[in-house]
Amino acid sequence: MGKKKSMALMILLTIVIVVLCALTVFPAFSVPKTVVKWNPAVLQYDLGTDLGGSYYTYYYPQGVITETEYEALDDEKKESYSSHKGLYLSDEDKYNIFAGDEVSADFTAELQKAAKAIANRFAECGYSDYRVSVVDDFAISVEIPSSDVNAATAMSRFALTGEMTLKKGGEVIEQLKGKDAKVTDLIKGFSVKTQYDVAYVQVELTRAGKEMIKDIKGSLSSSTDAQNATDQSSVTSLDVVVGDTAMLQILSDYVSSNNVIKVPLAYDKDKDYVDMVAVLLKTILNEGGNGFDIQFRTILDGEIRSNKVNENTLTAIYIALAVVIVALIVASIVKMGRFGVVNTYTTLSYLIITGLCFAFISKGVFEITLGSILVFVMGLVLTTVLNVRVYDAIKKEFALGKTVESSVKGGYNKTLWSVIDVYAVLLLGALALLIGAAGLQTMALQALICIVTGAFCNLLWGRAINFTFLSASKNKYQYFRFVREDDDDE
Amino acid sequence: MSKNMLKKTKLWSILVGIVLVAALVVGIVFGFNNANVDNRTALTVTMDRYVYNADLDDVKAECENVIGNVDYEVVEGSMSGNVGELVYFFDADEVSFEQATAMKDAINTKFSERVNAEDDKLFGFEISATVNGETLVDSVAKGYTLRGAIAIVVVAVLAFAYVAIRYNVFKGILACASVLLGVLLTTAVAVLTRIPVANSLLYAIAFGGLLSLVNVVMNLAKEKTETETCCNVATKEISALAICLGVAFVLVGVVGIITNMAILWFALLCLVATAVAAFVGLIYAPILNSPLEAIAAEQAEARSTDYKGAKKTSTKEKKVFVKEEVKAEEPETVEEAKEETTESVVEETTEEPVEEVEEIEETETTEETVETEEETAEETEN
Repeated sequence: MGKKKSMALMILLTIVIVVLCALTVFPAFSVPKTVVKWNPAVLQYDLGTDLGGSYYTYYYPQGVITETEYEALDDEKKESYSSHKGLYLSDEDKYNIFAGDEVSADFTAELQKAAKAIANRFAECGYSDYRVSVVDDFAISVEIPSSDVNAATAMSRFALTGEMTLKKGGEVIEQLKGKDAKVTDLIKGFSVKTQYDVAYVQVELTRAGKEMIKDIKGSLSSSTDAQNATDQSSVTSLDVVVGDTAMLQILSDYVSSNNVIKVPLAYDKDKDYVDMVAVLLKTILNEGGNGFDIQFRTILDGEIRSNKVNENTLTAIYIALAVVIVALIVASIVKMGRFGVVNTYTTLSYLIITGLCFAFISKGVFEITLGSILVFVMGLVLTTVLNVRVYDAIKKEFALGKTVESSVKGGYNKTLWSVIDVYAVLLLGALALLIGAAGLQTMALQALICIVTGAFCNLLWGRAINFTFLSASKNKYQYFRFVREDDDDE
Repeated sequence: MSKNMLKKTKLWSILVGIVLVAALVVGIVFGFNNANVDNRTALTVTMDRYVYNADLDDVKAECENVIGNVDYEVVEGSMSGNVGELVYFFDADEVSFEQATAMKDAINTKFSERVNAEDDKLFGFEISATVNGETLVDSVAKGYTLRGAIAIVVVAVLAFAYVAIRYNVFKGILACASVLLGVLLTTAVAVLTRIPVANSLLYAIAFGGLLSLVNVVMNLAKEKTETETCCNVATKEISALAICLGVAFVLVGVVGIITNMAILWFALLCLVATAVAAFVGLIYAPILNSPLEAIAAEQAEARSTDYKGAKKTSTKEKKVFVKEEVKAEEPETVEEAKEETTESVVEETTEEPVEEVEEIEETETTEETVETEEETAEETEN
């Protein structure tokens, strides 16, 4: 490549990398004279509990109140409550809490069952971290990462209790009216699919269920009729009901010709919400469709607390990582001369690609956790160490008396398979770690991004940059800080 | 394999074994030092929104004055309504419900005075404290630990498969062993050093296994490419990797000290994993490599003696080959050399001289026979 071409390419490369770096990491600021705020990619991550805090709330069964609520009651109402640790329990018969003077064993057992069922529901959501606890034996606390945009909906919906059933026009369908009839006889599962930018819940029916829908679908209203109806009671739909809440409304055009039910719930961009509904229905179905026999008080939005981890944590971590990056760049330039500049470009490219991938791939897919920082740092350091290995190999080739170009070629060839081996084993390792659950699976996905990026930077991108820079260099010996034996003699 | 290397292998293996056994015992008796407490006592201080936004530090200072010198985790709970809250979580084993109730009463008394004092900035606001006990039901997906363990085993198997294909089966075994060793030693050191662990421990353990594998692969690559040197350890690369990662984790740990202790514990675990991986790559894997190489050499030799042509040779001829091998081994000391030569001489002298002569003659005869067969083979081809 000619020198002029190389110089032009170098300048272009530098501009592109600077712009992309700014896009990735430039600190947030408000655009003057507008209400627009610039946010770099690194501030758009969905953060796990460790880095971004969490939402938490409490589920109180009907008839159970907190000390603060008790203090606000008048004296007459206070008499019907008994204290139990930090809670107050009503002895009114309608709540079925007490059996005589003691809390009934059934109530205690149902609450434990409810706690486990609710924990299952949150577990199925695939959060990197969450916590479900029993509070003072008769309430439940729940904590999930604050990156979940549907946290409020999830928290209120996941407290739903009651049996799952199918109702048509408000009445339980004939097939479920029998004594031993269960919803699992008709439905075997729920899954989430997307098509034409719409996310829908697919109801997987058993053979009996398919027979049932075949008989019913003719009598169901269409979605157009439902939209145009002024009185919703005139709309006939088959509803999947949990307790008293209709979770899915099945209309005639949601049933395909081969009796497959697909209920659209939201656009693809709000798929999180649809996933949440499917998780709830799936977990209730897995419990036999029975749910648990305890009613929780409705959770209002105002009762959901946001736990913001120290706001400076993320900034401090970014500063620490910036120090690491600068240290690697400086060390590589000191050791390798202008080849160190190639390493700088490679390192910044790694930062840009992983930073942007985490921002634009991670949204709604996985959260940034401490594991993410770990794999990012590993990839970053490995990229530099392998570049140093390449440099040493080039230096050894040069020491044999070869020309610079020949040494570069020889050095890259000699280190090719060792670099491939390192990234190959890491790739296989990351793929295997996908078997893990929750945070480990999240870390494995992010490791895949870091490993593929690192491999690209070391095997292809770094070479291309080196080729460009070397072509533009006036003194190839000085480029690598090589000293010819002839020069020594002189 | 030399005796010195055998000694080193035994010594390091015993050391590693001791660490693993000690960790197993400590783990069974005491378990991990869990950072996330299962049973907690929660002291919740609820306040008006204005106080939460403007005077939170003041409220915190008063509460922490009452709480005293007890370990706790504090959560600042912001709600969308008119209230905010501070929640202090204590280990239920350290602070009982009754002790927390006493703290609650003291806090309520203190703030009751302040909200009723006209000259106090908290005058007229509502601040109250309540106490609850919490018992953990679930904090990770079911089978998180089991699935993590399965994932790590699969990593080891895949490492074996890849390295066995690229190099040979014995190097594959080394790679597999490095993953398992990295994982086990990281876990063992975490248990022994009582570093508080949370769900993020699995990240550090997986990292320890992967980094150990990377270090061993770098050794294998160096051994393959730099055959002219005796050293098969990528010391420079592994050391650079360990130092750079160590510095990075130290910086992250400093962030943890300032902001969130969970980050500090995680950084410490990662430092442990890095150190373990460096140990595996620099010290233990090269030592483990020697017996595996010796077995590989023996197998290669056995394959060469299994060659069909060799079956035609007499046992007497085989003795000749053995003699040559004895001479080929480089003795480490002069005394050993003398011993070996003495041994070989002893072997020779134990043989019946007549047989020796016969051996030589038969050897020559056999060789001639082989040559003859080769000639006949050439002839038949022609």
